[in-house]
Amino acid sequence: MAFLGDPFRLLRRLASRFRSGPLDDELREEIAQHIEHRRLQLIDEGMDPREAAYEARRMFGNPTVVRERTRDVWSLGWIETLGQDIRYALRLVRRSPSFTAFAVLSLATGIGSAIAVFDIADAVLFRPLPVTRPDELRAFRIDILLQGATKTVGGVPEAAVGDIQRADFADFVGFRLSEDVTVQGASGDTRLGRTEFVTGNYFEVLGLNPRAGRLLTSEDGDSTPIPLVLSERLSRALSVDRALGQRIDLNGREAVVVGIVSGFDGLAADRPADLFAPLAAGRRVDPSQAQFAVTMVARLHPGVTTAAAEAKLGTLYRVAVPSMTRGAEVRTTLRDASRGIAAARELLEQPLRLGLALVSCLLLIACANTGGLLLSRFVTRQPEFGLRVAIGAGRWRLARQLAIESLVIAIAAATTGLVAGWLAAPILMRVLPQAGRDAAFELRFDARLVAFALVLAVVAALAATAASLARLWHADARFLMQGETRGGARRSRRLATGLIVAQVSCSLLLAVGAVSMGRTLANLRRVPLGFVTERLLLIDVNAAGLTTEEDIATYHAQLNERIASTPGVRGATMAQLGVLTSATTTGTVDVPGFVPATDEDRIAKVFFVGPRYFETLEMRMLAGVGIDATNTSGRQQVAVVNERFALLHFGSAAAAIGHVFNRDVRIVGVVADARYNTMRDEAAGRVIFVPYAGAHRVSMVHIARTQGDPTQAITAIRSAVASFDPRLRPKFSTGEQTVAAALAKERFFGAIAVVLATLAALLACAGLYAAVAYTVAQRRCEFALRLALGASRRNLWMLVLRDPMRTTLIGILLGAPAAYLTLRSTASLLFGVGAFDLATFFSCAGGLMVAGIAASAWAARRATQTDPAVALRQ
Amino acid sequence: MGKKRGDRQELLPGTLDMLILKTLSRQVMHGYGIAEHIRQVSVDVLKVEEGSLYPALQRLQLQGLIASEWGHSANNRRARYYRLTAAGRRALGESESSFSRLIEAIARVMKPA
Repeated sequence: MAFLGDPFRLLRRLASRFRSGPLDDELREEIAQHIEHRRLQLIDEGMDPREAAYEARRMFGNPTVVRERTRDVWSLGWIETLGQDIRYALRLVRRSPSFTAFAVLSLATGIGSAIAVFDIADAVLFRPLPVTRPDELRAFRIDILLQGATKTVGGVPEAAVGDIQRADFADFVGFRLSEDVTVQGASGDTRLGRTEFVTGNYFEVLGLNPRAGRLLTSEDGDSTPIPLVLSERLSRALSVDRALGQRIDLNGREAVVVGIVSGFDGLAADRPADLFAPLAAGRRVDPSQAQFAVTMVARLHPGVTTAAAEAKLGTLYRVAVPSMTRGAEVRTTLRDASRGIAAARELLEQPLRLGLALVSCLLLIACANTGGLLLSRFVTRQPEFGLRVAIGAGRWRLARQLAIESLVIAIAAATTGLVAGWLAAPILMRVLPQAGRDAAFELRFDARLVAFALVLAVVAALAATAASLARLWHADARFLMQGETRGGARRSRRLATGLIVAQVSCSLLLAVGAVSMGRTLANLRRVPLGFVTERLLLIDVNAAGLTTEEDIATYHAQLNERIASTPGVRGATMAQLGVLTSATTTGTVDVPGFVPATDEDRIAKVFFVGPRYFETLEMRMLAGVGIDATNTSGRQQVAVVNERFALLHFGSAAAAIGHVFNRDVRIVGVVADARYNTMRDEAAGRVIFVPYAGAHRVSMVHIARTQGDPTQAITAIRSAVASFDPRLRPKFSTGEQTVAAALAKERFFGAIAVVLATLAALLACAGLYAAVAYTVAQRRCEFALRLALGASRRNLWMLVLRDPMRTTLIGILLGAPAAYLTLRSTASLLFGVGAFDLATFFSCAGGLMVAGIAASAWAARRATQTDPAVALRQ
Repeated sequence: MGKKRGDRQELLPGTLDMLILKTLSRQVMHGYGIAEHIRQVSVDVLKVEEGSLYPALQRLQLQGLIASEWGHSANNRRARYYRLTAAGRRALGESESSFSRLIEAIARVMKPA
C-alpha cells in the first residue's frame, strides 16, 4: 500500500517547510534548555566542559529530527495514523474475504435499494430545475366555475399570452409542447424530437446560458428559417457540436440551429425537451397542437406574496380571456414550480414517499445485519484489542480503527449499491404509474446520487460499528484480553440477539405490506367493471387542425365506420373519453320535481358517446335502448342514464324511460352501473350518456371490439386509419393495458414491497444463520462433551435451535404492532384488506418462522455432526 | 545515536507514555527532569532516548493526559513544566493495572509451573 504512505510523507514535508510559529520557537527553546541542563549536569559529574557539550548533544539525539517528529504530532500525526488504520483495515479485508463479501453484500442490498428508489424520487420529487432561483417560479391553475360545472385550465390561449405577460407582479414565460416532431439533419438521418415552442422572454427570465451559439430572444419571431436551440442531449446524439448554423428540417419546415442550451431540458419535468423554437413557429410546425393552451410559468417579483399574485392573476385572466370567463367565477391558484411542471408528480408522490420509507426499513435491516457480523468479529478479536489497550493504545484510536474498518466495508457496499441501484432504477421506473402516456422523468447519475450513497455509507458504517464500540467502551483491558467472560458473553449475545430481533420485525412489516398489497391487487382485479375488457382496443385519435369545426363530427363518424369495417373488428364505437380514465366531464342536471340539497346534487358525470357504445363495451342495458343513429338525428335530445340515476329519480329503470330532464333531454335507456374512472369508485353517482355530436371534440377515443387478440388487430386498424387520413397518428391501448394502467400505483407498490420483503427475509435469515454458526463454532467443545456424555443428537438440535426460535418469535411479536400501525396509516392504498388481517399476519409470521428455523437448522447441522473425539482433541 | 552501554534496555513500544505519566504523578517537572528521573529511578537500565521524549510529551498533551506551562526553574531559567491532568491520572491507573497483569501473564508463560 505504498500509494497510501507516500502522499502522507509528501504532505508532511510540505507542511514542515511552511511551518514556523510560536509553537516551533517554544520547542526550539525547550530543546536548547534540555541540552544545556544535561551539559551542566555532566560538568557537575566531572566531565571536561568541551566533551560535556558534545556528550549532551549526543545523548539528546538529532534536534532537527526530534522537532520534526514533535511537529508531526501537532498537525499531521492524525493523517499518518489514519493511513495506518486504512492499511490495517484493508489487510483485514484481504485476510477474510468471505466475511467481507458477506458484510458488503448485505449492506449493498440495503444501500442499492435505497439508491434505486431515491434516484427515482429525486427525478420526480426533489430535483430543482437547473435555472436561476428556481424557488421563485410558480405554475398556475385556473378554475372557471360556470353553472355548477368547473373547467380547469393550466394555461392560456396563444392570443392571450401577450396580455398575461403585461403583468406587473411577475414575469410570465410560456411554452407549448409538441411530442414527436420529425427532425431531419443535414446528413439525412431522421429522429423524433420533443419540442418546446417558447415565448421570447423564456431563456432570459429563466436565467439560462448557452453552451454554444445563442439562445432565443424576443427578437426571434415567426421567421424563416425557424431559429432552433438544441438541448445538450440532442446535440450529443446528433453530434452537432460543430453544427451551429446547420440547416435542419422540422416536420418539413426549414429551421436553423442557432445555439445549444447548457444542461436544461425544458420546464416539463416529465417530458424532457430536445428542441426549443419560438412560440410563433409552433403553428406551422405542428398545427394539431396550435389550438391548445400555452402553459405559463411565472417568476414572482421580489416582495410579491402568493395571495396578492393570485388575486391579480385572476383579474388579468378575465381581461385576457373574456370569452371563457363571462359570467363565471374565476379561482386562481399558484403552485410551486421550482421542480418543473409534471402532471405525473401528484400521482407518484405518495407511492414514492412510501417507497422511501420501505427502503429505509430495509436499510435498517442491512445495518443491523452488518452490525451483527462486525460485533461477532469484534468478539473474536477482543484479546488483540485488550493487548493494545494494555500497552497504552488510546480507546479513541481503537474506536477510530473500528470505525474505519466498517467504513471500508460501507464504502465498498455503497459503491456496489450505487451501481446496482443505478441499474435497478430504470427497471423500477417501468412499473411506475404513469399519468400520461409516456411520462419520461430523466434519471441521472450525478453528484446528488453519489453524495446520497456516501451519506448512507457513513451512517450505515457508524450504525454498524455502534454495537462493537459500546463493547469496547464498557470493557476494561483485562476483560477484553481474556476474551469471553460469562457476563461479557451474555451481554454481547444479548446485543446480537437484539439486532436479529430488529431484522425479523422489519421483515415482518415488509412481508405483511407485500401480502396486503398483493391481496389488494387481486381484489381490485376482481371488481366488476360493468364492461368487458377482453378483446377491447382503444384508439386515441387527435384530428386537431385536420378538418373544420363544423365537420369534426362527420369526420370522426366516417373514421369510426372505417375502423368498424376493418377485418378482425367485430364492432366499433367512440367516445370523448376512454374507459377508466382519470379525466371526467361533469354537467348540471335539472330533473323536474327534484330539489337539489347541495351543489353536488346538481352535478352528474357526462359521457359523450357514439352509436353502438353500450353494445361494443358490452354494458348491460336495464331498460330502453342505447344511443344510435335513429334517435340522435331528430331534434329531440336524448340520453341514456345509469341505474343509480334512474333509481334515485324514478324508482326503477323501467320507470325512467321517456322522462325528460334539463328541459328537453329525453331518457331513452337505462344502463347498469359501471366503474368509470377507477376500480375504487364505490357509489359512482349519477351518470348521463349523451350523443357525441353535441361535443364537437377534435380528439376522440375510438373503441373497437376485436374478434381475437386485440394486439393482432392493431396493424390492420393502423393502415385503415392511415388510408382514411395519412396525417393522423393514432395511439393504441388494449382494454387489459388500460386496466393495468389504472392499477399502476398498486402494482408499483406491490412490486417494491415484494422485492423488499424478499430481500429483508433473506437478510434476516442470513443474520440468523451467521449468529447460529458463530454460537456453534464457539460451543463446539461443549457440544462434543455433551455428545460424549450421552446426549442425543435430538437434544443438541433442541439446544441449538431454542435460542434462534425464541429470537424469531420475539421479532415477530414486536413487528406485528409496527406492521399494524404502518398498514393503518396507509389504509387508503388497500382495498378489501383490513389493517389487521389475521390470515395475512399469521401467514407472514409463519413463513418467517419457517424460514428462520430453516436458516438456523442449516447452520446448526454442524453442531450435531460434530465428532466428539475430534472436537475434544482440539 | 550509538548505544552507550550494552546492558541498557530498549523500551517496549507504548510504555514510554506510561513512564512519563508515572513520573509526573509525583511532581510537576520539565522535560529534562523527566528524562533524568526515569534514568535515575531505573538505575540506568531503562534507556530513554532523550529526544524521543518530546514527541511523546506532545502526544500526551494532545490527548489531554498532561498539561504544560512556562515557569522558572530553581536556577531562574525559563522552562516548560508538565503536570498530570485528572484524565492522565485515570489513564495511568488503568495502564498500571493492565501492565502489571501483562507482566504477570508474560512471567507465567516464561516460567511455566
